[in-house]
Amino acid sequence: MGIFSHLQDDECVARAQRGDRAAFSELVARYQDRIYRFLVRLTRSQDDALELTQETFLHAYEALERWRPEARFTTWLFQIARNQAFDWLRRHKRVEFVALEDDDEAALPDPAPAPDAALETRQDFHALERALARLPTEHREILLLREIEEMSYEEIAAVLDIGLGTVKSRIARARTGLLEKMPR
Amino acid sequence: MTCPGTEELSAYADHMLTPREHAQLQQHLQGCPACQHRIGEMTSLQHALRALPSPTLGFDLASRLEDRLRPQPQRSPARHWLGNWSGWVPAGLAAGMALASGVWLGGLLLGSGAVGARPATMVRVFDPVPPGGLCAAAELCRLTKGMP
Repeated sequence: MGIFSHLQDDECVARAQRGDRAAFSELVARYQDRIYRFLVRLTRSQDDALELTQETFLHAYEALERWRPEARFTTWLFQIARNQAFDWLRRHKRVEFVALEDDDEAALPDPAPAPDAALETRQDFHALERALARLPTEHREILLLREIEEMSYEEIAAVLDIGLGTVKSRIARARTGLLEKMPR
Repeated sequence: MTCPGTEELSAYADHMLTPREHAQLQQHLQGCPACQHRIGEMTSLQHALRALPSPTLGFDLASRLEDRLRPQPQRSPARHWLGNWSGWVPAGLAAGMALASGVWLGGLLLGSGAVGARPATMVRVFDPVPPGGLCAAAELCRLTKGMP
């Protein structure tokens, strides 16, 4: 429990803007795993996701002066993480779908050690991760925001800087695409 | 009613339809096994994605970043009355003192020159007749002596 764990995000940001680094550390502690898991599944690389997670928080810290309470801190932070990831994907020319080789399975998060009885569940998870990784980046990111991060359509629109109608249609297309890639 | 499109079914699964649209689609679903199946697939997918184990960092990132966080520039609510000129105060004081000491030293020089005799070097340079020498032409000597 941090000394600022009782504070809302915007109160922590306000303190961090006044130079309180402990308040910013509280925000890092709150969101480091969410940002990391989002970036792992976007980049499909745990090492690069770790680097990008660090860069996301460093960029957020540098840009704190520009944050205004009207913007929700979570969506603002995910926007930065998403921009970091897309810059990285462009640099590595991986925006378009790249088929996963067997070696790439190591990049996918490994579920907790499973006994034999849970082997089927583990295989299901693996199949779903593989199908998700095969989606185009735009579809993958919107499903991650909707299903894993459980964001509202409005929050997704803010993170991706698109209209609500586009959010609705893109989620539908992403779901259809993922269902098609799932083993029958 | 014709079957709704994927977009409507997806929005229904997310409870993002208006109450009226939601009621209409619900009514359609009761008599359409194909759409029931499609909605079933979407909701199963939602549950499966939410159940996926999530990777975690496993360490405190904030402490790792501590050295790389530069202090935030402080916001000052009101400017000092000197504003941006306050940085020039020491330089101004130094310049004032230098000027005052220059005036004082100059005054010393001028003052001593007014009461004392002219230095011999100056006489040698500007006076055509050396001290103690005889004047070759009286007009010239009077002219130079009378000059300021």
